[in-house]
Amino acid sequence: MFHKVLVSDDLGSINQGVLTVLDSMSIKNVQQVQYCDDAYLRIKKAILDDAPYDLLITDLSFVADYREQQFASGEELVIALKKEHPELKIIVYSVEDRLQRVRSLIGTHKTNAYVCKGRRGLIELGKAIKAVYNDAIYVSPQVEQALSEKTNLEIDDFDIELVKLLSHGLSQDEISAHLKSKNITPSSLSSIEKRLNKLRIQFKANNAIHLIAIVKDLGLI
Amino acid sequence: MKFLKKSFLFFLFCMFLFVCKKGFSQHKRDSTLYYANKISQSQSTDALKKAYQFFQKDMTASLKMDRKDRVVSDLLYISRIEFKTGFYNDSETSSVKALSILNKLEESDYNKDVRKVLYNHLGKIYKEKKMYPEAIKMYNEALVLTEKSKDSLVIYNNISNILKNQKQFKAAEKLLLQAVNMFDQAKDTMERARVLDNLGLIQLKLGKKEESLSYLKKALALKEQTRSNSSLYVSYKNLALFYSSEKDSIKARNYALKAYDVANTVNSISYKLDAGKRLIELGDYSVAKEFVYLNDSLNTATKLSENKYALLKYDVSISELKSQKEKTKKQQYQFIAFIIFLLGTFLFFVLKSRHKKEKVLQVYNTETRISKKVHDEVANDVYQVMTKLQNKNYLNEDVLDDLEDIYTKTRDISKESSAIFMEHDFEDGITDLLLSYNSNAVNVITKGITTIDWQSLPEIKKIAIYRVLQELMTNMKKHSKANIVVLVFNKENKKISINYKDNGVGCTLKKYNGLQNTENRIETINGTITFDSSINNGFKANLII
Repeated sequence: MFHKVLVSDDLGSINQGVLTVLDSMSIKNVQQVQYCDDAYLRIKKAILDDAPYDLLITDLSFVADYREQQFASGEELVIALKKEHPELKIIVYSVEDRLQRVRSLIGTHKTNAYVCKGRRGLIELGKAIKAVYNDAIYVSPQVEQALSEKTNLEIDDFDIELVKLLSHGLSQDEISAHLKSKNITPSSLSSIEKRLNKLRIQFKANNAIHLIAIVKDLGLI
Repeated sequence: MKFLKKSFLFFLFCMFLFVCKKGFSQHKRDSTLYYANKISQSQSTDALKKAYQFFQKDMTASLKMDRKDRVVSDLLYISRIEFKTGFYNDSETSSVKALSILNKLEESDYNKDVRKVLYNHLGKIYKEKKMYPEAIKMYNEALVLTEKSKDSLVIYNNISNILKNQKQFKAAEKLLLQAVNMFDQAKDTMERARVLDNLGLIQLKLGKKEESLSYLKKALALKEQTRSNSSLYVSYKNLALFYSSEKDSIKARNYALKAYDVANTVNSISYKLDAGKRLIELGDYSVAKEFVYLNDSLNTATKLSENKYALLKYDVSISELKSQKEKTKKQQYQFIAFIIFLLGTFLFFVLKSRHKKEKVLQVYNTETRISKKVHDEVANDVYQVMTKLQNKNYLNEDVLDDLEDIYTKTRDISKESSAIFMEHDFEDGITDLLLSYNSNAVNVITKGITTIDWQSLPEIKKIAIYRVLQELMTNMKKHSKANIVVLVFNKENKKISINYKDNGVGCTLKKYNGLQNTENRIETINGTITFDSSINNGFKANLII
């Protein structure tokens, strides 16, 4: 398990929860800071002292106060640290659940885990620590979509054409023939079947008839 | 903003000044001397007219600058022109006015000279008006002020002429004899000759023939020294008069012919006429034909010049009227410019304050909306949890669930008003927004989102689209119970159309808070949004930007 952990969050009560989780995982050497600048300096000093931290758990949003900060947000801190010390493992623990931010932190800046604060936040944090220790990436379920393919949402004109032909009473074989005659690709039977299956899932239809009914109800054909 | 406002005001102010300055600045040239010469030399009406206009203008300007000495001299010149053109009454008014102004000024050598000139001039005017006692009075006033003996001789001559006209020959003789006694001090030959001429004529009237002849001859001798033809004429004429009264018609005719010759040399019509008349009286009809012709042309010329002078006055008054009109026009323009300036400033502040008001109102509306949301969605729930906790019958887990619900709601409210993550691709932003509403319960499906050119869309429209979609999706999540939502994006000419449809329970359309907000947002970017829904028939929205 991790030996030396730094927790950076400006709310003491939340730190308390994080400490409980770490304690339950028998990680004893835990330090807390309430400013991003402090976190940065501690980590730098530890590296100079040849006793580096092996995990940073940080929030993203910090309330600005009288102290002038070099790093105004956890995001800036993460970006700077990952640039200078890619080997340091970082878990972001934040209320923020906008997918773009999650995607940018995990994808672009190579953050090791992203945990959303919430009812199950601490449980997820425990899972995240274990995953990160095993060199895996962990993302809370509610923002999991950040890492999935975006095209999952999108349908196109071809899909609509398929459903339209289906609604005209054509069988899949006939559809394939029709598409071939019009030089539209893909026109193979298997690709048509694949598409229709995907549409069935997207429109939560049990079968082809159900699919047509739903699509028609929505006014797409 | 503050700088901008200041510079705007400054600009208006400069414009105002510019307009004023253009009106007031006047190009002025001092040509008093030039026009003064014009008066004494010129016979042309046009030159006099111009001089008259010049001195009128100069006087107005001097009045404005409060330079009284200059006003006096201008009035004197004006009076001279009026005298020369035969407007004796006007000339008198101008001179009297000049005198009255002069009386208010401090006494100085220059002022004394001017006063003397004015008195002399007034004397001339009264003489022309045949007001002899007044004329003499004026000349006497001038005489009191006179120190140079040449000037005294002039005035003596003038007075004696009046006395002669009044047939007071004795008084005239006495005065002229006084003048003769002053000859030691006065060296001016012409004036001396004039005195002698006058004295000779007066004594002829008084019957002192020998003295008369000797004075007339003395005068002739003096004039011959100066070789002044025009003054010689007077002497010849006087001698002709003398001899004709002596009944010596040969000598008389002789001098009359000499006078006629001089008149021809000088080429003065009035002299010629005068001499011709004398010759005819003396029985010499050789010049009669020419005399008639001259008489006619002189009459015409006089008439013409009278007309011209009348015209001059009229022209001057017309041009004055014109300049007055121009002045009024200028003042009108200035007034208009001033009004525009005032209106501009006024409008500027009105618009500014209205804009400010609108802003304040918007802020107020937003605050009210958020506060209402916090009250409706959070405070009520917290209160419920509190009552539940008092009962203690509920399980720990139950309360935790409630609390999480409140937590999520709070976060949603905060998200609704939080900054939009714009630094990345807007298409990604929208997809992520829709994706976040995608769940096991609801499938969000989009069509054509990649066909839209999001890059060229202005920031303000992007924000509006984002917020409206957010509002629609939140409504869907809260109320619709839909499990499929479809968003179709289309390019229509230069506009973007977004069709929202869900398969939820629908609703009767009432403009509740959220939808009203979306409408306002779309209106501010000149777009349209239409809603369509009925119970059990899903919810539709069509958005065109």
